[in-house]
Amino acid sequence: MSSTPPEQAAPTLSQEAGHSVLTLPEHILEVLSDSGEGAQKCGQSFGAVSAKMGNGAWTVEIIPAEIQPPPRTPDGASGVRIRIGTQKITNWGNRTKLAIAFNDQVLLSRHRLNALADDAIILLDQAPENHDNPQVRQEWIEALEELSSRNYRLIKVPLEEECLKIVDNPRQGKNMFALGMLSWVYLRDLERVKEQIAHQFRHKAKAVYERNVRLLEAGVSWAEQNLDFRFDIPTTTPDEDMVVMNGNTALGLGAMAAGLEMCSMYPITPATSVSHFLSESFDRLGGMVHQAEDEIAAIGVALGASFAGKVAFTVTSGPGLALKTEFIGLAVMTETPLVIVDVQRGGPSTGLPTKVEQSDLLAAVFGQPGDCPKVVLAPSTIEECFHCMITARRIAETFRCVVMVMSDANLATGQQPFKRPTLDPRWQSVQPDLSEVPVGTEPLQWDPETGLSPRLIPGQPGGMFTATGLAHNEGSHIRSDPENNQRTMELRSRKLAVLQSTLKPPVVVGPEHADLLVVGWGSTRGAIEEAIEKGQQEGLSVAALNLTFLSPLQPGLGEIFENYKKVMTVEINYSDELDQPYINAENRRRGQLAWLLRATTLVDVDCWTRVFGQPLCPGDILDVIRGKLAAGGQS
Amino acid sequence: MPSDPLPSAIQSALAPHFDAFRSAVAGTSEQIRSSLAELDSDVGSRLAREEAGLGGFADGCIDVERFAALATGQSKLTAGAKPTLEAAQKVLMEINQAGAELNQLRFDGGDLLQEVHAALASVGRAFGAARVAELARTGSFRKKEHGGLLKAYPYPQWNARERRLAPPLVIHCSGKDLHAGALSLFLDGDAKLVLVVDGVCPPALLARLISPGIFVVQGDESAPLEAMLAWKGPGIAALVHDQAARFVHDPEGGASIAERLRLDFLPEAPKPRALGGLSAGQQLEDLQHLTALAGSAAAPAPASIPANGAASAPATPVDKLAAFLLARAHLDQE
Amino acid sequence: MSENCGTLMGCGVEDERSFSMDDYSGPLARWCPGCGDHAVLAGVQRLLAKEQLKPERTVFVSGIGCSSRFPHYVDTYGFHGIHGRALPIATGIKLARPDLDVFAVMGDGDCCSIGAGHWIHAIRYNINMTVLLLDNNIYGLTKKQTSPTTPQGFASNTQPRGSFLPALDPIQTTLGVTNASFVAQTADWVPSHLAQTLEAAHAHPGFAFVRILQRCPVFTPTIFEEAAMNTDLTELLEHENGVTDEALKGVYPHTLYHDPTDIQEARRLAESSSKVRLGVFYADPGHARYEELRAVPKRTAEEKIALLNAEIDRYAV
Ligand SMILES: Cc1ncc(C[n+]2csc(CCOP(=O)(O)OP(=O)(O)O)c2C)c(N)n1
Ligand SMILES: [Mg+2]
Repeated sequence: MSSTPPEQAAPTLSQEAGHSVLTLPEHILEVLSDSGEGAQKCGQSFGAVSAKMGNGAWTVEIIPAEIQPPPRTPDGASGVRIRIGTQKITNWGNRTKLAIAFNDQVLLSRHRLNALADDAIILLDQAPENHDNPQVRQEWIEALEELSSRNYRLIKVPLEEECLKIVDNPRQGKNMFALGMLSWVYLRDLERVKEQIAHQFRHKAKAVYERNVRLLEAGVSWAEQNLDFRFDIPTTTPDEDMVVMNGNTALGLGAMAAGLEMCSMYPITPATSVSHFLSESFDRLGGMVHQAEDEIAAIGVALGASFAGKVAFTVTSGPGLALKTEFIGLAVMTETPLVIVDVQRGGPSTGLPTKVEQSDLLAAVFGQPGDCPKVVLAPSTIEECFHCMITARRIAETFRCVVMVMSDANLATGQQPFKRPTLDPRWQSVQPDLSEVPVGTEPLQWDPETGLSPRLIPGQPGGMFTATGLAHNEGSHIRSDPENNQRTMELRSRKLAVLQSTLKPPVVVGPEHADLLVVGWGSTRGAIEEAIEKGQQEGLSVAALNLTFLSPLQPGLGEIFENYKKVMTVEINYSDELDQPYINAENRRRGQLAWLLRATTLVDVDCWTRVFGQPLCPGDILDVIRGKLAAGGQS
Repeated sequence: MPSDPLPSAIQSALAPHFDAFRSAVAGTSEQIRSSLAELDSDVGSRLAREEAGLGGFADGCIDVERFAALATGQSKLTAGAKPTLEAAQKVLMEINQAGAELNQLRFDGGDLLQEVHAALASVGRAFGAARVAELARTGSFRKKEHGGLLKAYPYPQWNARERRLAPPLVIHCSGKDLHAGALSLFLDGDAKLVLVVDGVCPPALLARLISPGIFVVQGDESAPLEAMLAWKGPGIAALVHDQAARFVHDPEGGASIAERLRLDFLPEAPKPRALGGLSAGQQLEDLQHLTALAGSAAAPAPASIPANGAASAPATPVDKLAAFLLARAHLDQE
Repeated sequence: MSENCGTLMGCGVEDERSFSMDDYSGPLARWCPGCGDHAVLAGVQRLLAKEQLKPERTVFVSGIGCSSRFPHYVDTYGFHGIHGRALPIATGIKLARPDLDVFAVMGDGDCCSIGAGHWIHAIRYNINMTVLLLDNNIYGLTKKQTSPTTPQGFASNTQPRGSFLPALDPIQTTLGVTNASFVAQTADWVPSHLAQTLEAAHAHPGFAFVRILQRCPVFTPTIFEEAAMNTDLTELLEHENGVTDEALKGVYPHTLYHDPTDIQEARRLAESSSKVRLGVFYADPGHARYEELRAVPKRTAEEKIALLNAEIDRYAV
């Protein structure tokens, strides 16, 4: 399906007592287990330690849809992929080079998804081989048979057996033992690993920490005695302070750094962890997480708080966004600033709750009945998850508008190191000034050019008014005459054009003129740009463009597109393919950004989209680019 | 002013009041920060502020100059207001930093009145700073006239709203030099005083302060401090050693003193010595006063009746106490 | 503490204004002549003047319906929201600004049908606000559709052969919710009782729910006709901790001395009876209040940055 990307630097091999040390610019590994066996903890710890040592890193959680799926099933596979490198890593890469699997069935799931490289090294717990249950033994035989279709190097590991020497329940020990093995294989700094464990178990008894360290050390020494390979991914000492966290934590920290004071939400995967994070620390900063009775109430409470002078935000995912629709209209109509974070997941309906998709773009831009202009932003990295909250709040207040922030499940759970933000008091919100205004001051003194107006806040003597979702005039008095309605619609819409007038044209990565421009938005940026870079190394004439403003779009897109023979989007949402039955160029339903770009630029923008419920691989994108360029003239 | 940690029940009763005040101080300071930001008059610093305010996500994306042209409304402030606003903000930040410490006074003898005065004047600087900031914003600040507000803003000058907003003042003191009666000066508006009394003190320390509009609580850690602090009027509480009287005078209890005053514990007679500037006689008189007031309420029996009065002890509590006081009268000497 | 809106600005000036009923009047109310909403508006304006509530510190929040036009007619701050969602907006306002005096005004469709979920939870949050259900037993604005409180058998445009089900009783429902703290019923045609009930509700520290029986002369003229005309059909609940309307002495023959702290008795009285009961069913100021539990003191930007930096340290590489 995808070709292995050319390595950035030639691997070097050195020989140590009984094992080789292969030095590589980057490597991809996975930890796989039944749900509840802690593979994610193990993998995220490994990723965090790697980042802290100075590796570039990107982690992606492999999450089963159920909380407790049956054990030993491919569908129940839970785990994490970690891609580490000497340089910055921006996506999860192509295929896994090393996997630790706690049983044969979870391994099968990754094998069947073609997630493992042909020459992958596989460390597999051998416990099922001699299991008491004959069915398990049979499954093991069949699994190994199936796996033998590839050239994997399969190494059986007495994982359970070794853990039983230390703990009674190996389900609670294998992950630390595995972490020990990985730490040895990748030459990790054991002190840092122990620090990480200490942090992880900071709320638990000391004995728990100690037991886990024993498991870790057992894993290290088992690996040392039994494995004949090690990988060295050289670290670099970053010249600036770095932090490592996932996108939801970054959103939460960004919200606090931006001076937002209330997060009103209703739990929904994959957005919830923003509120988990905030619930621990927000109140110390004078903020509050309100868990409302549903998503409608959640946005209603945020809107009420904003009306009363606090800047509030709500965080949700697709199904929740659907419920908030009517309130978004009210916020737009009353020109109450509001920030809405949508951590997108697979849809429609309940869809793929834990998996990544970018299917809410058009719902965000157009999804409310009536004309409902609002600003839509999309962070494309975990660092941007932090910083976009500051920009979002500022725009919401300046323009008295709704700002939607479109993150996704990939950013939400992925960890990536980035430059430690230098906090600035100027990011903080402005405290409303409740001083008196002259009687008769209107709540919507629209600037006739820009549609912008200063806000009045309850508590200000002289400024009393009633906000309303009914058509209204400057005084917020209900008006239904044709001129007023036409004019006020214009003014609310104009604000987007005015914001756009402050935006700069986006910057293309790659040549200014080329055969193909690949346009993306959000979390696919890293994979797209890596594919483009590899393509250029192959001599392909291709460039990439990432859009962070989706409404309004950054200016100059039409002109940029003119410089490329073909323009296409790459997105994680659904589009019809022309080779499918009944589908033709006229009735084809396209990727969501493609719709938007075609409508605004009148350029025949093509698209390639997938809804696999997983991040895109740069190798797959590169294949698409090759295919597109090979297809010749017509687009 | 370092002070002993408060007992946790007391601490938790006081905390919301301290927090609310400190919160208002922080809020005011933030409002001044916003005003100061508006004052960046030169284009360069305004742009820098706007650029910073938009955050890193806007880098390379938003043209700061154009955005700033939209965002900055005309400031009503004059550049001259800047130093004044900064001075006011500094005071508020200091007060905020001091936190609950500022609301606690450790009195080690000397002139209680004077010290309470000084402590409140120092808390009052928060109101002074808010006033100064407002005057600066409207361009009516005159240094000669108003500058002093940032140094001390004495209680007598506070208006009714300021008195309502002020946090309770906790006075840590030793019982032997506490003359509580003097504090009545501060009991108007919504002022709240909490005495944390160390060691022996006059047994009916606060009896003289009982009057229809004042919430008076004397007792131990379980005293109903919350009710006193919530009362919309002046209030005083004393946390005293377990040999002192325990009572609650709640102005909302009813029209008659009997309805308002609840006497929970009446102590033995005080030792014959002067405390807090009160002679033993005065202390007895205070106790007598309390008992008399409580007479109309249902007062419990004194904790113990001295042996020489026991034989003929009359039946009602008031009479009991009268007999007890008579029996002790000869001890009234200094 | 409630006067404290998170700032000391402005408190150096003693507020010496006084307000008359006129000071609270907005534009002329556009309800039909004879609509009970007029009486409620007058009662509320009377309350505002009596309590001298500062117009700029008072916020009326509503949903959508005839009754939800209410905020436009009061010269305070207001938020005329969307159908059924007055309570979340009011909750947000009060969480952000406990210093504001918040009133929520809803119709029976608004509160008991589309907004029923919020209603239940708002009762439980028990946030300090005055909540008025203007119950005309019908959807007024959309022209006579059955509402949850429409009496069984009453014909409407959606159920022309009569409402199928027994009506939902808002008093019973409210009393059934955990942490309910104030539940009263009054009627637009008894202005003095309405006024006193509003006063009691406003004075209550918590979510004070008042169902106001409200005549709709256009769509439900018959429903309350008898109750309004024949005082024999009403029973007044009286108590010194509730409402005792001296003006009604001798007018209404049936009174019942009911201690509003007795929830069991309140629930019993809320069960259907041949009489319309007006008064305070339940009032207990001792219930947990969400906005008090969630009060967070403000921080300066510098404090926030110091705390945030400590937080970010946890993720430092
Ligand atoms: C989401 C939504 N659904 C339906 C409506 C239409 N609608 C407006 S008011 C109303 C019912 C009004 O009845 P009620 O709440 O009892 O208020 P009243 O007019 O009787 O005072 C309805 C169904 C709407 N505005 N919004
Ligand atoms: Mg109705």
